[in-house]
Amino acid sequence: MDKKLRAIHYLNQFFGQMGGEEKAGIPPQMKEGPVGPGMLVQKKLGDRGQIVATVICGDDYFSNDMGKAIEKILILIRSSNPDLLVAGPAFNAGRYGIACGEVCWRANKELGIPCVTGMYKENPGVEMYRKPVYIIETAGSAIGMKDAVPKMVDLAIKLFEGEPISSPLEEGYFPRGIRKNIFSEKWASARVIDMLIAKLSGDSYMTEVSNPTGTSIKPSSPVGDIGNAKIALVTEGGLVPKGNSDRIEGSRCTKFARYKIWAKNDSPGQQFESIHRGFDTSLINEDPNRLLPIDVLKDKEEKGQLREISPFFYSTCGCGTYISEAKRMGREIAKNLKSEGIQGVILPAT
Amino acid sequence: MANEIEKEGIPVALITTMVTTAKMMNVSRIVVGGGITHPFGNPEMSPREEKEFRKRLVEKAFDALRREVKEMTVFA
Repeated sequence: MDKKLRAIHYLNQFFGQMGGEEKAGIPPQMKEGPVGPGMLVQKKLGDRGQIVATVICGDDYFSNDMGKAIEKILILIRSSNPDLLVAGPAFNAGRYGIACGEVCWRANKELGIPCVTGMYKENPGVEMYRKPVYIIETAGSAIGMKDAVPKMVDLAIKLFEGEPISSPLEEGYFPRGIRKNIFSEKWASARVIDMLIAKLSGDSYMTEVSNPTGTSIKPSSPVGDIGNAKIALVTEGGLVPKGNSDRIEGSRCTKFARYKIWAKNDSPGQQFESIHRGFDTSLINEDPNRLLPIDVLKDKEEKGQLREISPFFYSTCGCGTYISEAKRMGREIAKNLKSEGIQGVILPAT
Repeated sequence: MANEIEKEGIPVALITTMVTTAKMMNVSRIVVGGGITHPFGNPEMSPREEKEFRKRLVEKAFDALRREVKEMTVFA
């Protein structure tokens, strides 16, 4: 007979039935048995397992000092000697999602137990933890509890048993960036023709390689009067001072740098070069104004059509660059631009 | 990168010929550029014509920056 699994459930203050936002500062604590949605988890576990304890922590307590919170939580988890852990689901709650992700990641890493959580696709915890942690995709709110919990428990048990884990689509978790080679009955050429015929006929088909997409963002307010604005140039065209002393990578870039723009009558082709490996850079090297239109912008500044062109441009290289790196660099550049009082950006892309 | 800067409240005019990719990434203000190897240039033109082309494209970028957009917009 299989041993009855000892499960821990991690919840925030709300689902842990301690209170709402006014209790978001509560420190980690443990209660015996299942609490709140833990009843559903226990129902799915059935005779196979038992929630021996529920660990509850306030979302603010966790996010204000993640290091301190996680250490306390791990001590509580460890004291119950669990076989597996289920966290949340957090749906679209950002602080909660990050807490669930971190708890699962660390408990798995340090206690060696399988951990599963659940989040809505736009929860920031998904992007942060999808690679190391199994995150079941859920609806945007607790309306999806009944759908999410069974998938979370099934996956946790499978992980404990060491059973092979099927694809994200089959198990319901967010893709973790792991590519597996499998044998197919049909050649790729036959599969792609089948896919094309289905697409043209309006039938359903499943892509084997999906393109990444950006999440929708709310466009920011316009600049208004450009004559009163300070505009900066940012590029992924890999334009750097000759010699590339900052060693910006020509592909799979992880770095950006800030350089002084050239004067209107300079010959920038003598000072700069593009180290981008994704296209023929000779035209840009001949005249970098073809990438960064500084000659025209300087004219407009002189004529008062633009208050100021920023004395610096930001440069990185968008050749095979990971989206996560591009996002990180974008965030860092954005912070710099804000502190420089930049009101609008022109971003030439190659 | 454009989206991360836009999230900080700074409008971004992305100049590109890869409009489909920019649309996939939900960039708010997309301005069609001169070419992959020369976003603000056109080597087929004389230097004077090319500078004129660059000036018009900069003005299109300005237009994109000063316009209120509610969703992804392509400025052709």
